Amino acid sequence: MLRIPCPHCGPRDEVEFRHAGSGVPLPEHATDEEWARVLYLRDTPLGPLTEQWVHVHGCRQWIHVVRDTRTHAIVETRPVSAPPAEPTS
Amino acid sequence: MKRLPDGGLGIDRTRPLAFTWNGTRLSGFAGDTLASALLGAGVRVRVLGTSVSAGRPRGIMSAGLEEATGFAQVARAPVEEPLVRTTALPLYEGLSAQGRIVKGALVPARDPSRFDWRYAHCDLLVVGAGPAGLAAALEGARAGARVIIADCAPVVGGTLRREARRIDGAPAEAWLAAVEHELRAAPDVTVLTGTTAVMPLDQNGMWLAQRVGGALPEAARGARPEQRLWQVRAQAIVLATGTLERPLVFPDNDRPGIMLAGAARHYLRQYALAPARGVLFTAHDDAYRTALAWHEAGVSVGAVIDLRPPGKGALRAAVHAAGIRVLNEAQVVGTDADAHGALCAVQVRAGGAMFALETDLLATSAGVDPNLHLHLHLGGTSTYDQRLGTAVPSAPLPGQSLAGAVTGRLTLADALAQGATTARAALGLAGEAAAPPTDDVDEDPPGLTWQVPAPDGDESRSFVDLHRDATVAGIVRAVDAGATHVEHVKRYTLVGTGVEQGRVAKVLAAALVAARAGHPAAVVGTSGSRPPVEPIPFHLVAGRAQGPRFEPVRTTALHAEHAALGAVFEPAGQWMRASRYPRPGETADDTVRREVRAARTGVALADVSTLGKLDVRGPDAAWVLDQLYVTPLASLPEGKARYAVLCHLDGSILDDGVVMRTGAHRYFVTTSTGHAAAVAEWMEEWLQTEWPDKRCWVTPVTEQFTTVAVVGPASRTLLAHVAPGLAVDRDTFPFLAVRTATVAGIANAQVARVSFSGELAYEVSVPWHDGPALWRALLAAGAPLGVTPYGLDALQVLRIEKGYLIVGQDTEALTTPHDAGLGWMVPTRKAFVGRRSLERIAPRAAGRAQLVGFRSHDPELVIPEGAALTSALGPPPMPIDGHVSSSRYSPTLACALGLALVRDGRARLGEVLHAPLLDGRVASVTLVDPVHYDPEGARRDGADHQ
Repeated sequence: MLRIPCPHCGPRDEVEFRHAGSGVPLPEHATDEEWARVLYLRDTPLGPLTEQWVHVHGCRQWIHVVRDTRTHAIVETRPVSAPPAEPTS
Repeated sequence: MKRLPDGGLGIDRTRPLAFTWNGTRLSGFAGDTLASALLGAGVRVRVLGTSVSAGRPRGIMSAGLEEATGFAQVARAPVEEPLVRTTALPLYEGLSAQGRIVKGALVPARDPSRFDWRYAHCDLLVVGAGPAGLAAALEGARAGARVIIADCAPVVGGTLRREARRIDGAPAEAWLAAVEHELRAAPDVTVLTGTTAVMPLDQNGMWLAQRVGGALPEAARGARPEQRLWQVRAQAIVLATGTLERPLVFPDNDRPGIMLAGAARHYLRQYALAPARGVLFTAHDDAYRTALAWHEAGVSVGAVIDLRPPGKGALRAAVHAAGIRVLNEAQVVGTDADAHGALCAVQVRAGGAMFALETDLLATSAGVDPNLHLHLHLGGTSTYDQRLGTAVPSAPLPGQSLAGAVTGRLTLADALAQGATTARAALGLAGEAAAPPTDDVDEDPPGLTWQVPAPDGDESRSFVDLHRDATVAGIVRAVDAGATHVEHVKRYTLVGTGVEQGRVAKVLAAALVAARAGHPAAVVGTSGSRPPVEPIPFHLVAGRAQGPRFEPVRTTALHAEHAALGAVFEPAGQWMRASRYPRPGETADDTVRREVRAARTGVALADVSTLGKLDVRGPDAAWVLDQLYVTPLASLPEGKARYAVLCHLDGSILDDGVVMRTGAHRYFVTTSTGHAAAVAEWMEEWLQTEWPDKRCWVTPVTEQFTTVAVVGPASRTLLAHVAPGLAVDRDTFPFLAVRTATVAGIANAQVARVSFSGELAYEVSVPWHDGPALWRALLAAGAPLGVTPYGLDALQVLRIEKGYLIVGQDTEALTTPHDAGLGWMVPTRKAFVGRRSLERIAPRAAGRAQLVGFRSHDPELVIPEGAALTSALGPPPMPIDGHVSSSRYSPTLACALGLALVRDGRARLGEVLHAPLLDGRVASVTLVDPVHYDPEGARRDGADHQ
């Protein structure tokens, strides 16, 4: 039961949120391999991981949460913004 | 053991309590636990039951959390609570229980008791109300902090309750009473007893399981919950969970009458329970307090048997001074039982000689283990302490600290000082706390050998886990078989998997593994620890969300109307929908056939309010919907509707529905029943994460409108009656048109010509609470036309006859629009979510499951939905070509038929497939086009003359 500090509403229990993917930016153009990576492949770091959550039982805003996969410590939360224009590697 | 004529600080002899044990009426006192009451009730109840594997008699071996055998099944009519720890349950008048020490039994009656949740926040949560915990809570209380302190015992005090200690020059009881009074009087302090911290949560949370009503006589329970689960969020947590005492292992060490030394003196001091003649067998100094306590109470002490050589510790000196017989470098090598299976003598080896000692209580102690489990559950680590021979915690987790004996510092002075210091640090208070002086004495180091080998070499009666009957022999066998890792030994022998969760057993087991495998104990470690600390009932975790509150039940505004018509209801997601409206004398099949016939030949009404509805509006609404949906929607004219499909990024179908353009910047979007929230969230996600600059707002409005489908060739006639101001002729109101009109006197009703049956049909939407007026008006005006309400059963038949799919039933996780036969709607050039994936998938369609129809060869045999279809009947394994997704009997075509997902299905129309059924029969089908009825769509506009 995580306690997530929603940037809009303050610290709330995990049950108020829904995990909403990894927020990988969508490229304008992609080869089949690149597109498959966007759809199906994810990094699984041992350490801080950026995730997308939505505060369904609160402000209903999508937020980014940086969570340490070893300790579950919430490193940072911030409102989600439009993904960068440049394609990511 | 028997009850002494006086003494017993914890019991009130003026309040005797009657209870029933295995059908026998017994008596105890207020303040007893069930365990102490049983021990005080005499010889005949020392034997609690027999163990599962070895069938050996067992009794009560502790006074607390170490208990591995003293469990009971407690009656709480009409149910019984299994595996209740007798050392935890306070005795109450009328308690009725049975000895079931190994496993409980489930009683099939439904438990009517309430189980509650409570959410609490505090500055300081203290787990454990022994000296360290109380000292911590006191600092918090005096600093004005919000404090919650919890202890699993029925009273606070911890180890202070079991021996006569002195704090600040006075009896510890005085300190205890004063502290408890101060804590309970402080307005922001909550003292919880009978409350076990069972599970830590991330970010400084904790679950506490509190016994409430269950500790009271039934008549006194009132409206109290049986148990309460506290979910606590604390700024800081202090774990003052103390230690657990470890028994010694020797042959026949499991008899009723053998118990932990600390427990023996706890029972004496608090409950005035004493043996006729006690013997102490120990490897450390603190256990000598039991011998001293017996001596002081006038109880005969047979001997103190110490594994270690003589020493200088003050407690050992005091026992010598009292004239108690002490044998050093001596062992108990066996025990004898009386006719009831209870302890009557021990076999002692000392100074090269073997002899027997008569005794009815052998108190054993190999030392103590810090009770680390809450620390370990969230990844806290421990290190091996060379002096104690056991694990002590290393660094505390963020936001937490440990205080007292749990850290491996075992003196009372340390407990009081650490408790206060950690609380001050946790609360950010400057300055040291003054810790009062105590009567701690120097002790010799504890012995690190805890097992006495059997003289005859048979280790199968030397028990390590008393609940699982795991023995030294079993562990030796495991290690010799190659299982040298404690986790492997645990699985091989089951040690530590019982009710006691290895609190005690796994430390003993780890030492034995280390010895046998020849590895240092520090390296071997102990097996992992997982929550909950103690078993908790599922009821408690469910709380109030049980029975009718497990899930909300949603009903439409027309629910009472359907009920008045005798409708049969069924759950569709969270909604209760009418399945059918039976008339007297009809079978279920009769009803469905009648309703289907009415819809296809007359006029019928269905409540379709549960279909998801979204209001989508804004200057960019057209752009947004056009991007999200496969179907072009920006070009949809005002006043028109279009069937549309939504895809995931991977090209699979997310949902389908009808989208209506109700204004230049307004759309009315429908979704499958139960999907409105998911589709609304999908739209929100795109708006917030990809298109934050677009001005488009999405509002779920499913519960704002009642929608009634008016269906059948006579539907136009009926609609004209109830909406006289609406032009309903074919040319003015064509298929897929959307109009606003006054219907049944309700202004601004929305009327859309859409059909899920293939017949002429209209969907009329009015504000939710106007639904009953609309429904009744339709029934009244439709009476001369034979208007017939129809439910989900008939609705399914009608749509299956027309090959209309339901997302999630006729589509699977990977089904694309092309797979579902909707390739015709995929535009060649428009962008939409999922396009990129379909560009790759569509040219590689070979072998994909495609939606087709089927007709059953036996027209009366309805093939179950989910049945697998194979082209090659024969011995297993048969290839699976697909499965039946929707299936009903069609009265219109007088045949059982349906829809199926079949590999390359569209190229296989006309082929025969087989469905082996669960009852052994094999059904055969022919694959056909999914549109079974009226493939030209001639019925859609009704008869010409209307």
